[in-house]
Amino acid sequence: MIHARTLRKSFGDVVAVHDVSFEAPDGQITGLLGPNGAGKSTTMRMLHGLLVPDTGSVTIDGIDVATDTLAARRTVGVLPDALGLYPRLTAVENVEYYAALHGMPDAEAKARIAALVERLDMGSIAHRRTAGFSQGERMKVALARALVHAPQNILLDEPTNGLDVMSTRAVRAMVRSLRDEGRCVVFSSHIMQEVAALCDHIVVVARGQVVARGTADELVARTGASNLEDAFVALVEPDA
Amino acid sequence: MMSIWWRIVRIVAKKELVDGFRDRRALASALAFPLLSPVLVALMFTAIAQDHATPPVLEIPVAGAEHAPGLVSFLETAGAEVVDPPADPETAVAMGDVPLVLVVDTDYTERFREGRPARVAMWVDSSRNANRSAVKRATYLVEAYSSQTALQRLVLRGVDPQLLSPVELAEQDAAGPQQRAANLLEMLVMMAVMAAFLGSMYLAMDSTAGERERRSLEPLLSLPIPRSALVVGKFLAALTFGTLGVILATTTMVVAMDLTPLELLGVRVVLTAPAAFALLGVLLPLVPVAAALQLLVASGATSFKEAQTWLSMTLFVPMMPGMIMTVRPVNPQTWMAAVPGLSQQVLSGKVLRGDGLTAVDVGLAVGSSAALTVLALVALSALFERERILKRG
Repeated sequence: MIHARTLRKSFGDVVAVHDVSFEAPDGQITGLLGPNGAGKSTTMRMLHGLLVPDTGSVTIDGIDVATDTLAARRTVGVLPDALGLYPRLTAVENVEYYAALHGMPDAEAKARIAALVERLDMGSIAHRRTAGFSQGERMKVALARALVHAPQNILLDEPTNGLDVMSTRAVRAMVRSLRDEGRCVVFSSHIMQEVAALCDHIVVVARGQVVARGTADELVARTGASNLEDAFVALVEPDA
Repeated sequence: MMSIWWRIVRIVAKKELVDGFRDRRALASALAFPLLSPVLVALMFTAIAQDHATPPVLEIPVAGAEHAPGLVSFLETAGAEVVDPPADPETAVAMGDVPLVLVVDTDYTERFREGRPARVAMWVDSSRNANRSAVKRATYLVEAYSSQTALQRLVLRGVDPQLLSPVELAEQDAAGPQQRAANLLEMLVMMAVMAAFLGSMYLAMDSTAGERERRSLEPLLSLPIPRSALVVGKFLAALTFGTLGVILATTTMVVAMDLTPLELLGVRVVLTAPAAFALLGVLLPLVPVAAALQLLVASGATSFKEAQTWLSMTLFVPMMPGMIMTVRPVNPQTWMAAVPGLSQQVLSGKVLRGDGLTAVDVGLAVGSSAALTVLALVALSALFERERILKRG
């Protein structure tokens, strides 16, 4: 469970995040929905302490991220919007590196990685060097890397960006099964249909602030719009 | 706690080494330079040494030798061998069959007897550098014969021959073979110093600026690991590459010096096995400094390209003492052992001349290296703790 309270972050004169608070409970997919530049990635980075908020705080499973960053991070798997892999290492070696850095014993890591390779359908690429991988293949490796230590909390920053239909479906299926295992998933996206299809609970962010929260149906009802797209536009551009 | 920290260090170092050994560019930068450069320098100096060795007998083809018996006997007295000329002097010289041909004019005898300038033509090919020394010697001999004859004629006419030399230019060459050989040693040490930097250069760049550029730094920094351990792991990998580079450079350097006929340059170089190890010992303290400094510089750059630019500039710093000493030798002072780069230059000189190293030398070299390395690593850790480390240019 992740609890963010009144987060604010500025870079120089630019305030990227004004005021973001939300709760992401276990066993649910929480969607951070907002247009490009709304402050989603900055918020995601503050959630696990990669960026330190100017004000506000984050607790993960009751651990304060600011005071006990490493302990909090042990319970988190992060998929940043950057899918950087090591091109001279194979897919499995990339994942093994992270397993080792998490302190997993070799045998446990091997079993876990074999299961992830199976689950993400990575058999054909598992022992190939990642140079030249397609975006979908890179995503699978990055997902396996983020999930290798079986984290209770999972942060996914725009995970379906640039993926084809098959890969998008694979990612969605993975995210749902993580939720069904009782994990806490935070999923950021600028694509409304995606968030509506996947998330149990939506937090709409615009200009660094939370402008609405609820299920997809609640958001439509609240704005009086006829469909979700109109509801989204009404929420992020109230003057339009 | 400490054991976890060290475990992270080892995991990171191991991964960076596997990555580095699979990277052709990293290997090339670590290995090619130390393997090739001392050999090249040795070849260069072998050539110089052979020039200084006893020159071979100069063969001078002379056409029309029968017209100038005096010149021919002078040449032969001076140690040259007068041989039959080729049928076509111009072609023979142009083809490089002979370095030069002297052609005595048919009216040489008559003009010589009358005291008028008697003509001798010399065919040369000025585009052939290899023939320069033969041409120079032949020119010198003919001119010597001319001056000698002039002198005799003046004496016969009762004129003091000294009137002919109002100014006497005495050329004195300060760059003897000894100085050249000393330069060789300084150049070789300079290359080993460069090898310390080049060995770890690519790995230092790839594991910092490269990691950021391929966007693998953000997920790495999101892991529950102390960043100081990350930094030290990367340092150990760079250190391994640098050490390999220096060991290779020292080995090729010792072999190259062994193959170079240094005795022809009049130099005594002590090349015993202990001296070779002492040389390695002198060079090694530079390796951690080079690795840590290059990591720091590369991490501060906003892109891989910028890191390359900065690092190639950094490379000149440790080379400067060597370059200055090649041009202007300085007497070793005790404090010099404490300046990385300069220390290597001064202390290797001592080792190669057969002077022993003192405990103070070793203490200063190792102590300054350790201090500077720790300082750079602390700065690097601090840099990695900053949010700015993620920012790409």
